[in-house]
Amino acid sequence: MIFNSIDFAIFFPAVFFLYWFVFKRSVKLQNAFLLLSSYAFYSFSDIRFLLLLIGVSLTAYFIGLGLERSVSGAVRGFLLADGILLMAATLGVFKYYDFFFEGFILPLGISFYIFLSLSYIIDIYRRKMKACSDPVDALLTLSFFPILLAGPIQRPVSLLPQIQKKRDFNYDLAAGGLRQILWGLFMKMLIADNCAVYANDIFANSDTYGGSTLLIGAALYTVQIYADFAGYSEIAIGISKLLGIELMRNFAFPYFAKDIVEFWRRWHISLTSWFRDYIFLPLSFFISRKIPSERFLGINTDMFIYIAGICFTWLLTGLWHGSNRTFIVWGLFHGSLLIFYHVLKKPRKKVLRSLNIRHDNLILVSFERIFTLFAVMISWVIFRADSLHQALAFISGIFSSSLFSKPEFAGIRRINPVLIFGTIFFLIEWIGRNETFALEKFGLKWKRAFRWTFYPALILCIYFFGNFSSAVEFIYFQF
Amino acid sequence: MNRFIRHTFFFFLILLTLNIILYFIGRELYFGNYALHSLDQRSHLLSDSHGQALKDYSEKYGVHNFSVGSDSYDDMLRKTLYLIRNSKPDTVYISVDEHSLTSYRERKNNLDRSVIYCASEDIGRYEYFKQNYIKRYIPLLRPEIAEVIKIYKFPSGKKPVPWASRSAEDRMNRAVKRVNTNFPDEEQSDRLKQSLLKIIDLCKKNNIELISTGLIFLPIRTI
Repeated sequence: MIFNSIDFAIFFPAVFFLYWFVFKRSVKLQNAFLLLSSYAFYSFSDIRFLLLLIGVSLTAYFIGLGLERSVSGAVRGFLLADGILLMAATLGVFKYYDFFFEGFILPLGISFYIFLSLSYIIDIYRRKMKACSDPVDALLTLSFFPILLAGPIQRPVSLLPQIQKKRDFNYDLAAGGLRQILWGLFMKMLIADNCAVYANDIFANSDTYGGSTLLIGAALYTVQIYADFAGYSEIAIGISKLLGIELMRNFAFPYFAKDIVEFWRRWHISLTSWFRDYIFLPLSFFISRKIPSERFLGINTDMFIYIAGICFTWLLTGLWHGSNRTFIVWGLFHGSLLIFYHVLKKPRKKVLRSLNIRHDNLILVSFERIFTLFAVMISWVIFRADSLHQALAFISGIFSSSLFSKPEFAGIRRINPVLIFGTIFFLIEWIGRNETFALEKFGLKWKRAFRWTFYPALILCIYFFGNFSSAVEFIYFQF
Repeated sequence: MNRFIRHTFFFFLILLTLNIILYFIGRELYFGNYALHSLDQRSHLLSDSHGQALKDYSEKYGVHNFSVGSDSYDDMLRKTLYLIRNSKPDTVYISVDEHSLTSYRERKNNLDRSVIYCASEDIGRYEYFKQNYIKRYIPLLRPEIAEVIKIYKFPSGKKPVPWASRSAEDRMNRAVKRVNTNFPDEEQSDRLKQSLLKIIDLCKKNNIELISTGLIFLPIRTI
């Protein structure tokens, strides 16, 4: 079941009503009801994989209990290794089997709920949290429906306590949730799905288009993937808020980042921080404990450790998205950008100081923002392309002399609404960039009558200008 | 909670007003003639735009024209069931052309409108509730209404160029585009084929004479 479907428009109000009005008296009942709702939500798309979801979360639950009760380090280590291997093997079988045998169906959201379960096991092992003995609470934490299909990959350490405690209805949280859902729908149905029409055509016929059209295609996909995934996350977080549960932020206006490190602090935060906390930092500490800190070939060994850690982490990040080689190259491309940034950090400071330019100089910051956005856009071409060959041809097409030709693609005469709404979208995002989502406080100081006109107007914009024709799925469902 | 209910109630009142306006505009534009039919005759013509072009010409021969543009075999099956439930038809004519079994027709059809001829057991209770009540009475959840409002209430103002005044190259390009749209691949739709077979079976069981005036099983054509 997807959030922007009629099924969900029937499902969620029913869940909301029963949750707050019928089961309100007991948190146990609320949780049991939410767990059943989560299973109903998941099985709506494909009931065959419900058993897999239950199996994965039950495994994490029992391993968590085992870790909690064992005092022996060896047993705990064995249980941890067991849990990680089981999760990795499940993910490997279902996600990468298709790499060798075509036609294998990928269970929806598997990468997300397996990472959630891994967090649960590892955090209990690290004693960051206690294992939950109540099976309903534990299973709900690992299969909470708003985050089940495409995240955010919420850490159980912050989700479980919210699930265990009694929840009282909070007006501000719920009203904020509704605004967040509205903004998410605007992002997905009006911005992302309209950009998708043109981006899909340009990518499908990339060999026939000139550089200027390819550049437009890359730009449209850049907007599409952001509006699609961030839109999904806003809806998921908003829905959760309506149920009285706060989720972590997943996007923080990434295209306004002035460097690649900042971009990755703002893009898919739940996944990036997952890889940082569970792969990059433990790996870097492990290597640094094994290798003494000294200089080699004039370079500090810390730099080598950083490079090794980044390369491995980004290889895994690419693989997390799928077995296609384009994802691996995309991951390594971002790894290289991060290393490049790290290496140039000190020389950049020196150059700026010698030129007497402040680091927050408006022209410098604007230039760095544009450069970062362009580098990210090129990476999205690799990510979106069907093959490395197509990605390479696409990128070389952008940098060819045809970049200065007149752009021409199917539907170019109908693109004006996309441009107008795209501009309005980024304007609102820019105005709201210091909030957790663009619409959070946008217009809150307006008179009520004006504000209450604004929201239905937004709904009507989605209704009349949104793209409903081709039932465009959320991009991250495929992962 | 009371404050939330109060505010959402007022907000939903605004949405309800919008919904009612859209419902009445949409009902006329979207359903329009689709719901119009007659059960007086005992012979019925089921067809897509080819039958629709006949308008009421067939009526004087005692055949009720039940055709609407883009009707697929799925829609015709629903109409056949409706006729059997509500009247005593003795003849059903089916007139279609080759693209009736394509994946194009499987996608582009009138299923969301022909639901008015269904009974809940035809498509399942939940689907019937969704299609016949939610989608029908809440046009805000039905984007097709927005499309027809845009087309008919806010037309682009461009006058269509008559076919005769188009260049030969333009005509050829348009013809090729049309054929490629109507015949996107060489696959025949199993679902539509099954619906056609069900129509044949239903007519046989109910002693209805089924007359095909088109080439209903013709292989798909591509260029």
